[in-house]
Amino acid sequence: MQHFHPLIKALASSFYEGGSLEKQIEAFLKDFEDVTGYRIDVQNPDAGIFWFVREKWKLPFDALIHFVELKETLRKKKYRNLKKDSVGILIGSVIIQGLRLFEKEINFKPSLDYKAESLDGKNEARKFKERYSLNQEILTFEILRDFLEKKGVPVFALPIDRQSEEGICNPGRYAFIIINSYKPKPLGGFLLAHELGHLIFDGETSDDEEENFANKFGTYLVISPSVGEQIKAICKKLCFREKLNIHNFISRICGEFSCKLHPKTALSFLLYEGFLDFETFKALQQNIERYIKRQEKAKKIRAEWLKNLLQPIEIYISDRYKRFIKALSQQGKISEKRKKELLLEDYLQWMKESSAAIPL
Amino acid sequence: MDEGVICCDTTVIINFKQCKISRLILKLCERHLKGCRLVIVGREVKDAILREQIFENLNRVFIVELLPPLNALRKLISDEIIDLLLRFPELDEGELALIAYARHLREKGCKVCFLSDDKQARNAGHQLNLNPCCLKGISIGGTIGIINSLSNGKRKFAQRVVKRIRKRNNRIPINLAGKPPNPCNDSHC
Repeated sequence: MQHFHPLIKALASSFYEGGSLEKQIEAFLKDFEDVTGYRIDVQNPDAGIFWFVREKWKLPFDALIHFVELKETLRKKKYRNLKKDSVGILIGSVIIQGLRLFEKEINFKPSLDYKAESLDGKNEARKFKERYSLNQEILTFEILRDFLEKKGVPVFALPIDRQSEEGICNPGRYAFIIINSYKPKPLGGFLLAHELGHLIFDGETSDDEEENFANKFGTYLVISPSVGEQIKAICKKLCFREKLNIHNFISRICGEFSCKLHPKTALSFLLYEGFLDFETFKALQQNIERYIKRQEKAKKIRAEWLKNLLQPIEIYISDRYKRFIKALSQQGKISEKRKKELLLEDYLQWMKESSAAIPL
Repeated sequence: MDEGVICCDTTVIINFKQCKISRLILKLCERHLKGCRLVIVGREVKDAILREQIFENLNRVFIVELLPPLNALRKLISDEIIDLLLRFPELDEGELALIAYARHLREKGCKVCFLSDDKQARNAGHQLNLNPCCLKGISIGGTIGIINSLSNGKRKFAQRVVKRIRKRNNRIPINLAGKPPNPCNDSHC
């Protein structure tokens, strides 16, 4: 069996279809040749591979430095939903380089030292909120983000993937969280809380257990008990006519909570509280997704709550990270070009231009 | 016979591109560095103006090799770049390619020195024992070093040249113009 360099294997398996690794590598080699004009050695690749990443995704060389290691970390954390076209791991590698610079200049350690002791997501969420006095009724993306930044965990909301519902969290020394900014803003709080669940969980589990833990932890972190009671009351009222009307459910949740809470998060809460059985939950979840997709395709959206529901998360680069990188540039410790590389300016500009051409 | 290799980034060349001082620099290079290989690494080497106007003049003095970044990177293995970026996370792509290529040439047995206006690149080069260039026994790191070497202690002359260059590139610091250049302490000279 032919030996492939780890970088080649990682790139091919992350971004190319084919069924087998050999077919994925062949697809990668073809794409590489299209971009660079030559065929790379798969056993001992030359540094042109960095140029390829630069031209294909407008990402700096750092995107490959920790790519293999980060992919392995995420695989061990049982990330089952890493989709084919996500560049999140490449971006994560760039962020790690930025954080290494941070560490070189300032002796810092994230101070979020909470570790989940059990797989009981609901209980761990309650303990977490008590520990850090997170008493808000709904923990939005902004609230959780600011909390994590203060605890030394940089947060990023970046356009990493059009298709999947995911974020990435890197635990350990260079901890960070990336959320997919293509996702709707009301879901931001849950997505960040979910990744936080992964961050605080450190145990050995089966395939589904950690993901289930993160989902439950995320739901109960975002929703306070009083909001939970309101959701239950809405459900009781709407179920009065036997069948839950999706439009009514979505509009009531959005209206009641000013679009700070996504209907899918409310639905998950109802499942965990025993208001719905799993089959009904899955059916309703699919109905919500279909409803939202129909609304996204509609030519004109009148209702304000619907516009707010569909609005994507704003692109965000960790404030602390950004200020530090800019300070290094002002002090002359890194070049202006280096500053732009670490702040992903080329990538974000390219995504902005391509988004303008292709409607969501 | 290879008299030595000067690895240089395009910024240094572009700074003198339309400057009258470039003729003086070429004369100085002709006196001290004729026959050396001059490797210029950077995106701008594809620039038609750079290639035509500069290439001819430089070609009279040096054996010139213009390397766009991909061409330079193709001569290196990926592990070299990984190793450098792990060691020097402050370097940008251009600085990295230049240093990696200079180190690669040295490992092949060439006598290498390099010119760069980037302080980070020069610092990294110093840590890797890559020598700055020297003219007349004076150590020259980049554009300011060349100007100071030419000005022979005449501060006003040096500042006039820097002001002219700053019209195109305002990152060149004027406060260093006219300072006495450092003596070259390297045994490779």
